[in-house]
Amino acid sequence: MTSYIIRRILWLIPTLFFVTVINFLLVRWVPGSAVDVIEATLSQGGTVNIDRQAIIHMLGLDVPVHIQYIKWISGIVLHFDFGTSLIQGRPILDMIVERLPVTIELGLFSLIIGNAIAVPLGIITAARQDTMIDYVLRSISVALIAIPGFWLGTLVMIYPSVWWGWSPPVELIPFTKDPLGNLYMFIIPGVINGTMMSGMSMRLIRTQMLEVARQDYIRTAWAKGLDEKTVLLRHAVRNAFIPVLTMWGNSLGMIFGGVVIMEQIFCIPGMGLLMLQALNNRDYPLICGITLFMSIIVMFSNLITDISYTWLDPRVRFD
Amino acid sequence: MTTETTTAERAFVEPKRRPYWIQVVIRIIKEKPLGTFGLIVVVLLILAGVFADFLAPYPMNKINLADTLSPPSLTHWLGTDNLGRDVFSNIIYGARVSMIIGFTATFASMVVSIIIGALSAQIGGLFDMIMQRFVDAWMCIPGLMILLIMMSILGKGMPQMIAAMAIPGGIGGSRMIRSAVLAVKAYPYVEAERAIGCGLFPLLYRHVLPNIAPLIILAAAMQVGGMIMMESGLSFLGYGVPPGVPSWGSMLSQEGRQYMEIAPALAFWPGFVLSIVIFGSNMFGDALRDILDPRLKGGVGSYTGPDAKKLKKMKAKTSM
Repeated sequence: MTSYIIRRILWLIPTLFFVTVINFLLVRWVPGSAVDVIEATLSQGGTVNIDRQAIIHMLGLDVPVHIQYIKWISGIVLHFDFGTSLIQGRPILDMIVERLPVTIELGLFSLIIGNAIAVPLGIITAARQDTMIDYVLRSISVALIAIPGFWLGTLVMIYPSVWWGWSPPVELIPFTKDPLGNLYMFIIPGVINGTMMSGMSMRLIRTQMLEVARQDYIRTAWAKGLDEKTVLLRHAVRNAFIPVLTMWGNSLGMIFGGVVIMEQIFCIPGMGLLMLQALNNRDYPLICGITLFMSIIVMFSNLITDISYTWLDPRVRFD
Repeated sequence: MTTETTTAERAFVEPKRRPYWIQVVIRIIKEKPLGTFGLIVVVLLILAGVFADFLAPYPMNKINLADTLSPPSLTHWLGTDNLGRDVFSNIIYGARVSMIIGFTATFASMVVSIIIGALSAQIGGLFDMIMQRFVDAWMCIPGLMILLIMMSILGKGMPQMIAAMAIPGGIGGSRMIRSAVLAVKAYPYVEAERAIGCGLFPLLYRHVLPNIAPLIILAAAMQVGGMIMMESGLSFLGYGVPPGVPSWGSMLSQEGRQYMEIAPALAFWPGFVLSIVIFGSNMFGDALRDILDPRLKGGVGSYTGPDAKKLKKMKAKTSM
């Protein structure tokens, strides 16, 4: 087991390298460099004489690409310096850390609320296979996957204000000042973002529970005379949920995508909104920094998920 | 009791065989009602996309400033938007955009998956390990971020969108193809082919691809809904189709949100149609998978399927 963990962590190093290279190259491929964008911003319609060489030197673009990459990586690894934002001039790490709690909170809400609905419903639909409840819940779960979150969010913004004159809160109240106000703001985007997650969870839970139900130990439990609740909750659920937990751990990227859309619709100042602003302003260091930060978080969550899978299910070995 | 059959008996015993895909469609219609709904939705989408110019009552983006933001009426079935464009026509043209981007991006993504997955599995060794780390790295970056960055690099436009959606999707799907190819590599006749010196590409083309073809078709059928959803999501955020082209996502974000107080229905219809299309294509993909999977009992290729039963019945009748 420890050898597997060590091997898995060693695999992380080339993956990390590729993540940084991909991030670096993706943003460097922009046609019409950052200098042109700065020139356009400064001139604002008129003409202005700027010293292109000075700006290029300030941005560090006059050295070859691999030297730029080495400088950038060493900055991150040695000083935790992700660079400075082009437009705002502040260190990128500060900007990210400022907005990170909001995004994490929204992501956690989506995960928890989505699954709080999905888990009991998934167990019910597996326990009552092929009945009317099963068909209804299965259709609902596919519908939840199919309904786009941005449409639901837009409808939630529009129709309550048209019918009842109510609109979601716009001002962000920090959690420390007023927990209830904070929760009030996050609950609606959280529910909407969680719907797709809950649809997928319901389907996976149903599949896994049905597969576990055919096992011999479940038949033994029934033969012992245990009632349905005990068989399901004490024996079946524990084994069925291992792949489900793996899916939850690996779905961080998808959740973040939904969070970006929700922040755009409900104007929540989190990292998704920062990313969209950076894309609008062509603030390349910031785009690069945010993407790298999120990639590293997702990578570590995948690592934890993989390791915990072998811990939870000792029969599995990825040799 | 004779062991030889006459021509008449043989004709009686072997039922007339329909083409394979018609058998599949008939099974879907008979056994899976939701799958049938999905099939109808997909067929309608394709028809709406191909014949958009004939089906839409008004030409695309025809501005009619005399009649803006009107409610549904007999001339404009779903009303008009702020520039007087007919909403129903724009939804049909949006269907065309979604269909083109959805199917093309799925096809392109399958091509990328096959190239990466099959080569990586077949060559094996160090190349395989490095490619897998590369694929892992790509999967770590959140999908929406890759798409947004690529669209902001490449600019707005349909070919750019197809390329941007195909590459990450393809790299993600390559894992599944790789595991399937690894399974095929273990077949004895494929090993034998390698032993007599079959080259890499003939091996892939003649042996590996035909074996994974059903898997590819299934994976493609299931991916179409996701591609349509991603296209609308990107258009919603403003990084999708160019401004002149109607797309359900951009209809939702442009006219829907701007005029939400006056005409909330502008935001309702594009999203509603989008939901139905994605639901239908997902259901169709599910029904296809349930029917085509030979491991499940009752699949079309199985020994206990309906054709086998009919054959047995007829054999039993004639052997009296």
